[in-house]
Amino acid sequence: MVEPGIQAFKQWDKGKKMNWIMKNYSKDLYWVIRPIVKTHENADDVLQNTLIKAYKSLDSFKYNSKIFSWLYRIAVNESLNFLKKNAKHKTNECLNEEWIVALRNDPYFEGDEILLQLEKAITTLPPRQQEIFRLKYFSDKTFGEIADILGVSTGSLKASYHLAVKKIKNELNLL
Amino acid sequence: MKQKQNIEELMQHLKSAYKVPENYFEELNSDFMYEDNKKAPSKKTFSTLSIAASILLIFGLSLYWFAKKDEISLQDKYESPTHVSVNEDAFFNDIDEEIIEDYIVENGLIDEIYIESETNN
Repeated sequence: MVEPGIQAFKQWDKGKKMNWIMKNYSKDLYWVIRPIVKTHENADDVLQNTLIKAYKSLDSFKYNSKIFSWLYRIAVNESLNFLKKNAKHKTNECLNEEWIVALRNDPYFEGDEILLQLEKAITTLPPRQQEIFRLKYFSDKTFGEIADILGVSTGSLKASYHLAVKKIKNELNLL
Repeated sequence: MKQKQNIEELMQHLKSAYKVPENYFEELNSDFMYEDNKKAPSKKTFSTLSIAASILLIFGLSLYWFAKKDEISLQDKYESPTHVSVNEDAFFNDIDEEIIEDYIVENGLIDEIYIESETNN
């Protein structure tokens, strides 16, 4: 997706900006949110919150980053807030288990037990590694694009990714 | 466990296991697209709830109105007066009291007539 020039985007009225975002990024944002909050119902809820927040914040967007990077941040924050709301007084292990159960019961998830184990293994990674992993596979971003979105160097990103792969293989006894 | 040893391959399977309802994005876009610069995007579930609440409110008010209407007509129908209130001045000025009273009582329309003063209303 080629973003319009910042200057051109700035000139648009709020409605046109929002329509452009909807048309070009609603799907990408969904695939940022869905692997974090697991079920479609949760993803739909969080995506709508994300879009409303983006609309409300359009005027305060400083254009210091790319439009998608800004939207991505909102989507991740909204997803994490959603998880936090559901995490009260629960241990990580208990939560991960709950999410897997929710995913298993989601009518819009058709994975087998191996894929559920993989999902569980991803949730055991540190947050940044999870982020990289999910961006790489669910959003089909290149390492360069992910580095751009997360504001890190491609080198450190690749190192984190390989560490994540190793941990997952270990978790799944695939080594 | 199947021998899906490649993480890349597994991740592709995982991604394709996540399904999205048919036309989800089209519907989302049509709900959120900003039209004619008049309406700000609002949460779909919230809009749906608002519509549902409005329908319920209208339905409730209609039921109330019909219930009241029935109550009034039932009163009219079954609680036919056993006495009649008549404006005193109008009664004495325009109508001959005895004729009316005799007529009504004799014909069994009502048991008796009470003359009601305006000040007692």
